[in-house]
Amino acid sequence: MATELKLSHTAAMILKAIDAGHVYGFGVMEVTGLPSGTVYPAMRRLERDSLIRSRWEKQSIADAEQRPPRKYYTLTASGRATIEAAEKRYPLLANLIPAPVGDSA
Amino acid sequence: MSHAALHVAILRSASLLVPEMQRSDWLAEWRSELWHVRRDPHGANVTAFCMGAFRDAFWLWRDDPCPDRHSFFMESPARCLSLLAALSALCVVAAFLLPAARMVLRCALYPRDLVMLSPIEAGDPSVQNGFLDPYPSVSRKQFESLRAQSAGQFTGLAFYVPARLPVETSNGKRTLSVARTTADLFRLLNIPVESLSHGKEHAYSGKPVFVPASAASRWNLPASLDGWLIEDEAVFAALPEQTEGFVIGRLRYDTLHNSQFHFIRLRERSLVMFWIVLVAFAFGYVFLAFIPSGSSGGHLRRIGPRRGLFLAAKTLLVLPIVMLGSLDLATLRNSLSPLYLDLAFFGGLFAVRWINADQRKRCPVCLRLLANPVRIGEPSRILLEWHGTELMCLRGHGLLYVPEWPAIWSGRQRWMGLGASWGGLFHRCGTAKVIPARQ
Repeated sequence: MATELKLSHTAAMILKAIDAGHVYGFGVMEVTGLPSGTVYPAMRRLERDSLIRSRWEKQSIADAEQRPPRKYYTLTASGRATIEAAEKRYPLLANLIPAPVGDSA
Repeated sequence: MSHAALHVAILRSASLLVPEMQRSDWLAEWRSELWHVRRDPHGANVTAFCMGAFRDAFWLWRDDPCPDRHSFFMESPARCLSLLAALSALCVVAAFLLPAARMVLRCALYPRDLVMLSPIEAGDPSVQNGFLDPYPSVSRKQFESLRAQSAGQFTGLAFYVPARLPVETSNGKRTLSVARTTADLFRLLNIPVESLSHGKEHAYSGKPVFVPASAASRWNLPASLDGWLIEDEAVFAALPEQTEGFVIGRLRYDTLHNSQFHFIRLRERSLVMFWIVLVAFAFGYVFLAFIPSGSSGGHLRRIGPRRGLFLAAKTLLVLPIVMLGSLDLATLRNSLSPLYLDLAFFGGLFAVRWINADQRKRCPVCLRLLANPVRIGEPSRILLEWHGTELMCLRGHGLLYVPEWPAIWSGRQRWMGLGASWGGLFHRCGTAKVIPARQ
């Protein structure tokens, strides 16, 4: 059923960005070119709709790199099915979102 | 303030919109992201990034399904009315404590017989059309003639002459627009001369020039005046005959029999008219609210007039808050701000919106705020919103369905009353045992 659901182009771009490995808000902003006022509310909606889930990075990892811990987003099974359906609807979506370079979640 | 502090302040301000339960997590995420944005090698616009937090926070605030915004004071109808009554009383007291607000109220209460007189030959179209003449048009000679011919038609007449005078102030000598007048003028306006001394005093030729806290009188009388200089009759008599000024009088009868002068009533018409319109609108609104509408009409008839009475009480208590609250705000700086009518207008709009929204969120039986909102249906994948929200009366009187957008099957909100057989699901104290969550 989830594969039949339709996302707006913006929501699909954000979901695709997360799927491609841009797993935090600023990374999604950079790759999509969307402003923070669009990206973060959209990610909240996607999380509310169980298409993505968030988790905080371990404090020890952040401490080792001397920075605050980040909140990472990953796709759920439902989100993965939805993005597959969205890629059929928006065939150029994969070309718009390159995979992150030298970045690890 | 440094840029870093400014950015954190923006985030903290935005976080106030976020529901309390999510606030710390939300703020931690944004601050963490901010740390990375600041170090972005491409030089991201950090301020623009932070401003986006407001949109995010607003969305969370709007999406909060269980808002804890129903304050203790608003939940019960009695407490809601008590709060409104207290606010009304506060606005009334403030209006009488603020000198400029008090003066405006007094001006609004000017007697209807208070008029400004202009010579007919002046032929100013603005006067002909019923507007106050902004320029002095009556010479001292004409005033003396009027006083000699028509004194019997007035209970009082006064003359004032606007002039630019070098006035000694605490900051040295300044040229101000001053009205030279006799004490008769203030007697006609019902303004005690001693009340003028509340303002900052200046002097001209050793005589006090009143720059009144009652700056409202500047607004209410023609000519743009900075102050008042009360002169003796003898000084006025010595002025040249061609000296032009304004004539204020109080009519003994409702009309004036004088072929050389016409008059215009001085009572502040815009303010009084605005108040009349506001009060009429409030009564009309309450009247319409008593008329049952649509399918819910029969149900409203069954529950009696309590809902309408509550709406009427709420509307009538909000009136002084809007009328006097905006006046208080507009006169905080000891003079009537031209923003007064704007404040009152937009305050009135906001009040109507609040009254409507509050009324819709109340149980029509017990008038308490409905609670436990539950999202109904699947969220749309295009608009990313839900079909509707259902709220319940904690005393078990019924459920209110509020559609998020009009659909063929539900264009407007519907109240579904629950019969006594549902009573077992609710505690006697008024909290629900079972929350019907349907998603």
